[in-house]
Amino acid sequence: MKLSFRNKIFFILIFFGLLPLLIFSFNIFFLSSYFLKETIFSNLEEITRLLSVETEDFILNSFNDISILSENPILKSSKISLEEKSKELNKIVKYYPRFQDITFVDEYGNTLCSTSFRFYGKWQTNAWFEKAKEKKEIVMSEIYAISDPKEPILSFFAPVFDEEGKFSFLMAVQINMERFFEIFDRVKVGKEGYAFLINSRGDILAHPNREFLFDKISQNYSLKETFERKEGRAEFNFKNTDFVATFKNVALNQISKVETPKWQIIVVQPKKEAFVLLNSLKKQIYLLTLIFFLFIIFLSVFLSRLISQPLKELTLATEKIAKGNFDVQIKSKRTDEFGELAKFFNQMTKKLGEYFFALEESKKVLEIRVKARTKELEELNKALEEKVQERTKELQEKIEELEKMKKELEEKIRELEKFREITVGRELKMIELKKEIEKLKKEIGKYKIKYEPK
Amino acid sequence: MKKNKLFAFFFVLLILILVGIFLFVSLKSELLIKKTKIPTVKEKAPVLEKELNIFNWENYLSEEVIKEFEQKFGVKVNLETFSDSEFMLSKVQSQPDKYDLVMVDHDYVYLMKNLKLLYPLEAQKIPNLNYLKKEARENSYDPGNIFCVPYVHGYTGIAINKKYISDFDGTRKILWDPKYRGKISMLNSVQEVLVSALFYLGVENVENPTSEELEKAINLALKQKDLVLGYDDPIEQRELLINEKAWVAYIYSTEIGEIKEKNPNVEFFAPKEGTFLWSDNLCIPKDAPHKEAAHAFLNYLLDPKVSAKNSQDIKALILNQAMKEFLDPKFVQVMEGLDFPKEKEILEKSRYFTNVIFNEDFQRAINILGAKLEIEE
Repeated sequence: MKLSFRNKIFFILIFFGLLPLLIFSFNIFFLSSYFLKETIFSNLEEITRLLSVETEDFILNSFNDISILSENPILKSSKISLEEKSKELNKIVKYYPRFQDITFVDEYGNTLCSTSFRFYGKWQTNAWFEKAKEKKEIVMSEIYAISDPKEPILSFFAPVFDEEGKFSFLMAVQINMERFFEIFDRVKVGKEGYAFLINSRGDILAHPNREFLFDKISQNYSLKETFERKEGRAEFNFKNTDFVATFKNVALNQISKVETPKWQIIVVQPKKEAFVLLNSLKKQIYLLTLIFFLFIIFLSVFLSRLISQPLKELTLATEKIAKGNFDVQIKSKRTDEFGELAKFFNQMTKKLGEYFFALEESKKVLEIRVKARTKELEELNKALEEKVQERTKELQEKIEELEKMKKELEEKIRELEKFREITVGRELKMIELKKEIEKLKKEIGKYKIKYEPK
Repeated sequence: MKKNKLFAFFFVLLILILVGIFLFVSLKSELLIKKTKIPTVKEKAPVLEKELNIFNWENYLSEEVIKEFEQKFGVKVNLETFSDSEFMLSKVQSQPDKYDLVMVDHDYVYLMKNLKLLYPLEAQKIPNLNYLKKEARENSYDPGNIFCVPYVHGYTGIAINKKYISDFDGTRKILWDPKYRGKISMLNSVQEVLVSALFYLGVENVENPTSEELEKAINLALKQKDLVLGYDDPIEQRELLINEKAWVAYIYSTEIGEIKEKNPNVEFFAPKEGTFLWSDNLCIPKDAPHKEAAHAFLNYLLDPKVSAKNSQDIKALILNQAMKEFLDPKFVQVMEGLDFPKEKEILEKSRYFTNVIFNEDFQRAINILGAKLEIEE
C-alpha cells in the first residue's frame, strides 16, 4: 500500500517549511554571533591600542628625562661636591613626580647619595646595573618586587660621564609606580573588565588588584604565541574567571640600544559580561526557532487536512454511490475549486440519481409488456398442443388400419409362398437354360475381340 | 503498510538530525570561533634538561656528589657561588630565569615566597622528600615544604669550655655573668644579640615583641657590651674557642663540629629559654629554565646514601633521617644534635624570626642597637 495522500502533503510541507527555517536560523545565529563578537573584540582592541601608546609614552618620556638628567651639568661636574649634587637631585625629584628616587651608585655598587635612601640593595649583583656599567648605556629594568620597602619597582640605570667624558658613576632612578599603575587602573571595560601588563615570562607587572602583582598568568594563556603574534585576541581563564581578551606587545625596543623588557598589555572582560547580549540573542533565536518549528508542524497538519479532507469526503461519497446510494450530498461551504467540485459532484449525483430512477421506470414498463406477451404465447401454445393431440388420435386410428392391412397382407404372402413352391421345378429348368445362354454369349465375345480394330 | 511506516520513520529521523545539528553547532559555535582565533597551550611532556644552574654558598655542596649526578643523569651542572643572601636576592630578582636551584636561608625563603620569586615544588617529582627529617618538615617559614627543601639546619647556642666553667646552668645567664668578663664571645650579628636578650628576658611573643620589650632588650644587650671579649664573626669565634681565649661563646651550631675536633673540652648547648633557629634551603626560582633537572637533583640529594656522602664532605648534617647507617659513627658522634636542639621543650620554644624583616619596630631596634654596639657585620 502506498503513502496516503494526506501524509505525502504533510511531509512535503514539513520538509519545505523546516528546511528554510533551519537555514535561516543558522544564518541569523552565525551572523549575529559574529558581529557581536566583532564589536566586543574591536572595543577591547581599541582600548588595548590606546593603552599601549600610553605605556610606550610613559616609558619613552621617562627614558628621555633620564637621558637629559644624565647630561645635567651640575650632576656631571666632577668639581661639584656630592652634597650639592644631592640638593640638585632633590629639586629634580620634586620637579619630576614621575621619579620616586634617584640614587648615585659608584661602579663598585656603593651608594654615593640618594634622594630618599629608601631603595638600597646589592647593586653589584643586579643584572641591569651590571649591564649599564658594562655597556655605558641607559638600561631599563624589569618591574620587580623588592623587600625593603616591600613594593614593586621599575629602575633605570644611567651612566653619568664627567666634563671630560670619563665615566664617573651610575644613576639609579626609581620610577613612581603608582603613576605608572594609574595608566592601567583607569581602564574600565564594562563593569568588570580591566587591563593588566605581563612580561614574556608571564609575570603580572601591573594589575588593578595589587595582590596579583608578580603572579603568573594562567597556564592556558599561550605566552610564546601571543608574544610572537604581537597583537590579537584571546580567551582564557584567569583566577577562575573566563575572559575574552585582546593583547598587544608594548614596543619598547626602539627606545634603547640595550635590550629592554618584553611587555604585553592584556585587556580583559569576563565572558559572562561581554556575552550578555549575545546570550540573550541566542535565547531569542532558540525560542523563535522553536515557535516557528511548532507553527510549521501545526500548519502542515492543518494544510494537509485542508487539502485532503474534501478528497476523503468525495471518496466516501463515491463509495456510497458505487453501492447504489444516490442520496449522497457533499456538504461544503467552500467557494474554491473544492467547493465547485463538490457542487458539480452533487449535481452529478443528483442527475445520476434521476437517470437511475428513469431507468428503473422503463424497466417496469418493459416487464409488464413481457408479461402480456408471455400470456399470449402460452395461449398459443395451448392451442397448438390441442391440435397435436387431435392429430395424434387420427394417426393412431390410421396405425390401427395399417395394422389390419398388414395382417391381410401377411395372409396373402403365405398363399403366395405355397404357390412359389409349386413353381420351383419350372424355375430350375430355366436356370440351366440361362447357363447355356451365358456360355454362348462368352464364345461370341471371343470373336468380337479378334476383330476389334486397332 | 510496512514500507510506509519505514518512510515516515526515516523522515522524522532526518528532521531530528537536522534540528540536532542546528542545536549542536549553535551551542558549540564559540568553540569553532575559538579554534580559529585563540592561541592555545600545548602541554609538553616533561623532559629532563641537559643543564642545571645552581647558585650556592661556597663549599656547601660535595663536588663528588655533583659529579656523580652529572654522570648518572647526563646533566651538566653549573655551579655559581655567593657570599651574601642579599647578592643572591638581587641576582634572582634581576634574572629570575638564570638559576634552577638557589640556596636560600630560611628568612629569605619567607621573603622570596612573599615576593613571588619561588616556584612551588612538584612534590611528586621528589619521592625522597619522605626521608626529610620530621622537624625540618614542620618549619614555620614554609609549612609543608611548598617552596623549599631544607638542606642544612642549625641554631644559635652556647659553647663553653668545660675546663674553665663548671657552673653552667644551661641558660643565657652565663652570657651576662661578670665572672667571665672578657671571656665571652658574642656573634657579630645585631639581630642575634637582640634576639638573645629577648629570650633571656623571657618575652612571651618573642617574634613580635612590644616596643617596651624591645627597649628592655636593647638595654639588656647594652649591659653585655662591657662583659664581652668581642662581637666576632663565626670564624673568629672558632679560633677563640679552640685556642681558649674565649671560654663562653654565643655561636652557631654548625661551627661546633670543627671546634670539637680540635678542642674536645668545648661543649655546646641549646639555651633553655629557646633559641634562634635557622636553615639553608634549596629553592627553585619561579622562572628557572631547567625545572625538571632541578627536581631530579633535589630528589638525588635526598637519597640516603648521597645525603650521607654530602654531609661528610661539607661537614654538616643534611636533613635526611634515613642516612645514619651510611655515616661514619665518629662523624655521627660529633655532629649529633647540631641540626636541631635535642631537647623537645627547647625546640618548641625556639623560633625562626622570619617576619623580622617586615616588622618596623624590630628593624628600628636593630638599627639603634647596631649603632650603639658599633657592630660591623
